[in-house]
Amino acid sequence: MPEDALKIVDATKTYSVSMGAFRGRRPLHAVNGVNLTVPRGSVLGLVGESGCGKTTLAKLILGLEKITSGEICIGGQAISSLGSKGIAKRVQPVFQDPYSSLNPRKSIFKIISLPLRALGVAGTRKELNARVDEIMDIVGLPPTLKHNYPNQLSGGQRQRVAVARALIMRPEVALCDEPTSALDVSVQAQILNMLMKLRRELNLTYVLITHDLAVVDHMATRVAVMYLGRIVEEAETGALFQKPCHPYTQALLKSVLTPEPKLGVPETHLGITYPNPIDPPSGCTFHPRCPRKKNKCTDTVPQPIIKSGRLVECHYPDSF
Amino acid sequence: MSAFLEVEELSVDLHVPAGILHAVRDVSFDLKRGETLGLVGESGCGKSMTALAIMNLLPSGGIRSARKLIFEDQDLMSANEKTMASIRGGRMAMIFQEPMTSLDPCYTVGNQLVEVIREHQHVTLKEAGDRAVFLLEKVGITGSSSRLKQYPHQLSGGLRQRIMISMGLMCGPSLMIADEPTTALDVTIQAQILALLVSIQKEFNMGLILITHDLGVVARMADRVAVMYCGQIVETGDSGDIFENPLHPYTRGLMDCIPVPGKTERGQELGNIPGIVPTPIGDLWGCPFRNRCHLAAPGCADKDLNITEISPGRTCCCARL
Repeated sequence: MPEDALKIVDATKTYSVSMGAFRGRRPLHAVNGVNLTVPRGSVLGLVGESGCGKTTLAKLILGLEKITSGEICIGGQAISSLGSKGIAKRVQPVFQDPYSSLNPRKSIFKIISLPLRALGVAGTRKELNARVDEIMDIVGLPPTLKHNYPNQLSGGQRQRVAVARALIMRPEVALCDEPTSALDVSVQAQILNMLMKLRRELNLTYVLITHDLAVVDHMATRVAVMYLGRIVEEAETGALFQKPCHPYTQALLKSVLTPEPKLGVPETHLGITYPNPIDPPSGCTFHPRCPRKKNKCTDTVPQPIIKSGRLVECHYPDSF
Repeated sequence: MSAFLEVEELSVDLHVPAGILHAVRDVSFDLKRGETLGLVGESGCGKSMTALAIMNLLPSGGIRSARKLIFEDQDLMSANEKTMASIRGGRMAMIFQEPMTSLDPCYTVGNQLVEVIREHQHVTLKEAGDRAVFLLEKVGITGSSSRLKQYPHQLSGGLRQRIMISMGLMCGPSLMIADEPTTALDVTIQAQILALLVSIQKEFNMGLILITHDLGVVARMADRVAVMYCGQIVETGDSGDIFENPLHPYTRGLMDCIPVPGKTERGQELGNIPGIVPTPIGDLWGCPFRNRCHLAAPGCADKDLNITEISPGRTCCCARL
């Protein structure tokens, strides 16, 4: 079995965006040459803020958008050679909003069993029932809920249904896009505990996309930081949180508000220029907000530096 | 000493098909000018309703009652709508979570800022415009004269929230109520907006009620904290006290749920509050948290809830302490 559950090589997704009537179109490089490798059984935390391209990258992995150039391989097989059913067997999503990601008109049984039925592997009614019961038990849902509808369930229960639906196919990769952001803190903890337990028991591989760095620190094996379509830093979780080397990663980590009253509100030194993916800055795209900016940053694109198990794209990173 | 904001036994009832929903039950707190009170709790705990009750902006069918609701020596319970309208946006400002829905998409930013001050004070268009430019610069927006001509959809979330804050400041309020002001924003922008609120509060000596579910935000911003559960305040105290030594089982449970980089062991199971929040409809008695509490005893069901004052300014509503 290939060691890498997911391998992304130089992935690019470019949209052609209209600038208004008679003003032509401009390219938007939502994902701009991303390289990532996720070993089997590990958790990759993908962090970044609005406009960084993490949601577009998720759509590429799920096959919901067609890649412009580059390659994505799941379990050694290129997505381009798999049809949508082939991709669905190997990678499944868990979305952010448990209120809109479940069809309100379908029973829980129908929702959870849909992947099996859609891919033609449902088997007999008895077998299907058994598989749904099994996965509901694994995610901690009482089997009596099978005949209920989503509006009769709490947010936490709905998210468990979403996870059950994602895992009933035993995919190689579960792609969790902000799986707990819409949930209360106490429910969030339950869902995260469940995800961690399932990963161990079923030897799953997760791609965890989130803005919540505390969750990433807690759950991820490795972290990749995205900015305007590129990975600007990637490292093992402990190393990244201990010693972030890219100025953007440093600002991100400083912005995490831990419940420690004595620390007050942090100063990120970022200025208020907002990154615009359609009109990215020249050279290093982070330079308008960078406290360390020097001349080279404005006109030269930094090349990735790969050393000691870490990747950084910066002309003047902290040493590592 | 004149009272800045005094809230005593504020309650809000809502008529729903299933009966009467007690959204807020006997909430009491004081706020001094220049102080930040963090009102924290999960969804449905009544924190936003409390703010709406103070401003008399409850949804239709909502009924409020209070033993005392006094703002700058003025009784808000007996104030008529005309008086409240002059207080809201004037001496009392409110900023909300979603700046896009609070800003009118059909008017320029400048238009909306100027409207606020002209509603409350007799100023010329030019004076109003100058004040708008002054405040935009105060909140860190450069090129303010061109910003004034822009529409909300042309601005990022962080910029819109800064516009909201300057709208709140147009008439020089003494109290600002911020309801989840940064939840919809990116983490780095959040830090900037919160730092801005802190500096503005200091400069204008404003009282600030910060409503949020985010314990991290409350810890870093608030002087005092009130924890709400199921419509009631279950614990209050100085921010340092509450976070170093939480007393109420719900507060302790909440703190255990959150992973903290550098403190929580990686991959370790997070704390858990079993069960779900009950809906406070109909007749209620005893502690609302007892069905989820590991300390619950039979006595928790039949006592009338009493807020115990542990020490000056430190209260907790638990029969088992």
